[in-house]
Amino acid sequence: MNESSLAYDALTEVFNVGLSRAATQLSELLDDQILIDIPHIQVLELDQVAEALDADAAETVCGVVQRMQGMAHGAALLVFHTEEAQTLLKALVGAVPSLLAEDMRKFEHEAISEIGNIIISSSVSTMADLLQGEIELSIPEYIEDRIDALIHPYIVGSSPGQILVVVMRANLRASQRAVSGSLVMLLGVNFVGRLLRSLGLEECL
Amino acid sequence: MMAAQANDNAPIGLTRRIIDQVPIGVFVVDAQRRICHWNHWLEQKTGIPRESALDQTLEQLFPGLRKPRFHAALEAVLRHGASQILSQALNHFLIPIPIPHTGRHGIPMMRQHVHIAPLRDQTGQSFAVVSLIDVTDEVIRSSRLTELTQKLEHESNRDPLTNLYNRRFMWEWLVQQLRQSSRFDYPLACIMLDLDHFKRVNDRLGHAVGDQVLVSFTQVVRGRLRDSDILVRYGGEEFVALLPHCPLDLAMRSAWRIVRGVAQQALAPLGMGEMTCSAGVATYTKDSPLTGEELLKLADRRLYEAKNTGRNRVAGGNKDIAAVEWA
Repeated sequence: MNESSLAYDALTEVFNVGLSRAATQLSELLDDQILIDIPHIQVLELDQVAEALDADAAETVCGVVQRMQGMAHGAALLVFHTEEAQTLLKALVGAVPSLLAEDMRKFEHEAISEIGNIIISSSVSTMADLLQGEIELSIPEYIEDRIDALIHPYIVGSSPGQILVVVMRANLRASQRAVSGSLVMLLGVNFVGRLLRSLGLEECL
Repeated sequence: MMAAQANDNAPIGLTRRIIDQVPIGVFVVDAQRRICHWNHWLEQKTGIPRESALDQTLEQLFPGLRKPRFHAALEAVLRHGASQILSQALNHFLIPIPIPHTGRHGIPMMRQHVHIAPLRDQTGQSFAVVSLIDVTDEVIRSSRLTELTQKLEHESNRDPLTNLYNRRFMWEWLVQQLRQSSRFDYPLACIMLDLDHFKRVNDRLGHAVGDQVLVSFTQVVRGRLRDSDILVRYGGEEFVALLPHCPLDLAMRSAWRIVRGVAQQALAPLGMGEMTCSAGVATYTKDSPLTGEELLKLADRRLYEAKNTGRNRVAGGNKDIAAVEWA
């Protein structure tokens, strides 16, 4: 893959526009000024994902997943290191009691799920608009596991060369704090080709 | 739930009856945001019959309702087919449904977890299926557990007589503070305080009076510390004040104000001047780094220097002060 930085800049800009819509929604929902930006996008092979996310193979990460269907088949995951997720909740939602009981954590998971839902929907609809098609998204689910285990259910039955992974580092800033997560989109190689071609970025494939 | 084509073999009437049987709220809106289905659960909970709900928007049914997140979510569902959730944690509720016994734990409205999924009919028209799950009981249970946890946490960190922090809390706090002091290079002072001849009060007047004196003493001390300082009942009639960002000379002054205050005030139910105290002061600085144990031990050694040189005074190494000298 030839990573032309100019070409990736164009893709980054497209997603940043979509994420600004997510930021507006989150600002309204949380009554705080939320800014989201993605400084960098990578298109990777599956085996490069863990390294790109800066996650140890054994580390448990958490986040939100929504399956994609329609013009694109695959999944979109917003992934946080566990302590980043806690910081995110504190920064965006306020103090969350540190309870261990599982049903108490459920509310934290729901909050993370909705935040992820807003960010993933905006990003995916940006891609759909760009290609003038429709990508349906399933109800978001909270997930917590090692990164390879999180990705596994969405790549079962696909041969390694069929799937590419679009990875974006997403920085979220609230008035008090900033946290980073990663948006990971598992997409068919043909769809990624269409996406890049729509921006005149064929040379990246 | 993916966008489903409403083209299975079940008759529409049967589908509607199934939706009416489910123990959750379900309504459907069309592309113009008008309600085109309103299930039995919603009729019962809101008191709004289906006929009155149909063809209305949610705002027309509930004037004054402002839910921008709901509209953004509908847009995502109807325009992009992107399923959405509105969590209880962030939205509390979508449809205002007062709960019986208003104010149970300060929760006047039913808390709801909301899913919104896309649906297409045979002609390709877009709809959004909104389902609401009542999670009020979970929220109440959660808030009770939170209160209980906070109460237990408070109690495990406090001395029940004086409501001051206890040793357990102090060691946890001190470890963190010393780390900060070292990292950001600021001094941390420790004042160890002991009531002079306190045993005599207990012996002559009984433990109940002794306890009252201890409580009065903590009030005098607390009033002479900053909000950022912490006061700990170290054991019996021994107390520790920890003062972040405080060099030795300022800590000596604080200790002296406490010693003088105790001598010049009546510690109820005793009269003025009937009780005095002594203080030992030590500080952690970058130049003389100490562990928490070493800091406490040094303050304790200085306290006994103050005791051994006449009581009612402050000892802080080569800067010892008798209260009378500063009076």
